[in-house]
Amino acid sequence: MVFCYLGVYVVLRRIVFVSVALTQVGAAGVALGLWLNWAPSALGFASIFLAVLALPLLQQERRLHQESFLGAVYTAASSLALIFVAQSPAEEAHLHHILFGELLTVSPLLVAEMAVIAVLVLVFHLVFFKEILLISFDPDFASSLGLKARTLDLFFYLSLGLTIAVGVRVAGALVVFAYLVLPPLTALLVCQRMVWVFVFSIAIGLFCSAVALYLSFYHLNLPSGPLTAACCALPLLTAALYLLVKRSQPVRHSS
Amino acid sequence: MKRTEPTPIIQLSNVSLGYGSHVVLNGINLVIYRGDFLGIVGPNGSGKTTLLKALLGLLRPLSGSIVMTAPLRFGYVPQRGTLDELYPLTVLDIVVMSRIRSRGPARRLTADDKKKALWALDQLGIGDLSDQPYRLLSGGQKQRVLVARALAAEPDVLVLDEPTNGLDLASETEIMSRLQDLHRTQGTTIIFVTHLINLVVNAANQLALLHDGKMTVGPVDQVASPSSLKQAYGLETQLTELNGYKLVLAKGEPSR
Repeated sequence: MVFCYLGVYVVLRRIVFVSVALTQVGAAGVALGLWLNWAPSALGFASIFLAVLALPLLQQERRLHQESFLGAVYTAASSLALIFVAQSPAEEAHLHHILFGELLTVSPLLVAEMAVIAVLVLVFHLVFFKEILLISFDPDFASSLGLKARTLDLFFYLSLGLTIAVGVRVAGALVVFAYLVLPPLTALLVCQRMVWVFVFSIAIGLFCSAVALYLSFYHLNLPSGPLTAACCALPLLTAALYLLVKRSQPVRHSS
Repeated sequence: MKRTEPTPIIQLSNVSLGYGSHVVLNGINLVIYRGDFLGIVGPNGSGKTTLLKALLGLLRPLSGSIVMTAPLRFGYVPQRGTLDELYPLTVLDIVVMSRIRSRGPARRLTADDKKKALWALDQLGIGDLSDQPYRLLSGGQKQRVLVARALAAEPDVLVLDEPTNGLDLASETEIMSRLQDLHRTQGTTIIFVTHLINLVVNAANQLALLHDGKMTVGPVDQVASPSSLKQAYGLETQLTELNGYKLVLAKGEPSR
């Protein structure tokens, strides 16, 4: 739910690559924790926290495009995650879990951790809903009104990072990224009002998760993570095809 | 509008502006009075938007001081192209954004805020567009929405960055006419950034001309003089009048 909510901003703010890079940085942090056998979620968040603090520096650098830096961060973080996991005692199981997730075997403690983080992040976003929407849409105008746009922006990224860090442990990088991008994209294609985009994105995420878990557990012998990601892609594909067909139909003029 | 006792509201003293180690403007001295219509003009890349961002408090000066004599409420109209049309927002959604500051976090915007936003839309003659998606409007309508948003903030100072860029003659004239009305009837202080000098020579009482990292500021007739414009644009010009309207005419081609 919280991923599909934050994902609306990820898509609207055109920071999909930032979220991909942060997801991998989080995965590397978690992998380090698993290798050291010490607080994987905390290390995941710490690594994302450092990356979030470094983001404004990357954005100020005008000689190279931000995407290039993000590509470099993604590659480095992915390699580190694989290296750390290779050192880990339960190498194969951890690697599979971090990259693809296994929602059906998550420990109750981790679910509780995720729930606490989700509530904290959602409360922050509900309290500052209109402010975060404004700093996302028009940060200069927000600053001209006297809002602390940069501080709010930092907290936005921290809320995103915190959610990703725990989410990677619960569901794996692939599922986290799927939740952040696919339901929000579908909602943005279908809905004409901002509030409905958030509602629809969350609804798609919840529905697809339920369907994927049900199929994975009762009917198909498939891993729940990739199945969830695939289920989230279906509504997007349907919406895109519908719009394509709608646009290709000739416009009728009344005489 | 006649000013009997000009009250300074913003004062820039020996200000340098730039980004990192790159200085864009240097030694800027400027006093803006309540009720002023200040036009900021200059060639492309001369630092107009940089100066505007410093006035709004979005950019800290590298040196010197910017003093506001009292807390000011700004109504900022950014360049239209800087807004992302991916957001599914209606006209009213966008205009009511300017009321956020008066409510604070965790508080919903009220009917009064919506009333104020609708009033601002009516002022710009687009009250009937309030439920329309912003992204479907024409360029001129979008620009008026942004001016309405700035007005709904009940600003002491209206700050506009190239508000008529890319608009047709009718939309440009409409926007200028609304702004001059606001300035004349409500005494709103206006800071207007443009690269089109003819747009402001009739509306502004003060003109700031930026070029080569410097600024010349003063009454329009003085700053739009052939010698000042020659320095800024490297171009022979003439400030003339046609049917009571001032007009800057370029003669020949730039010498540099």
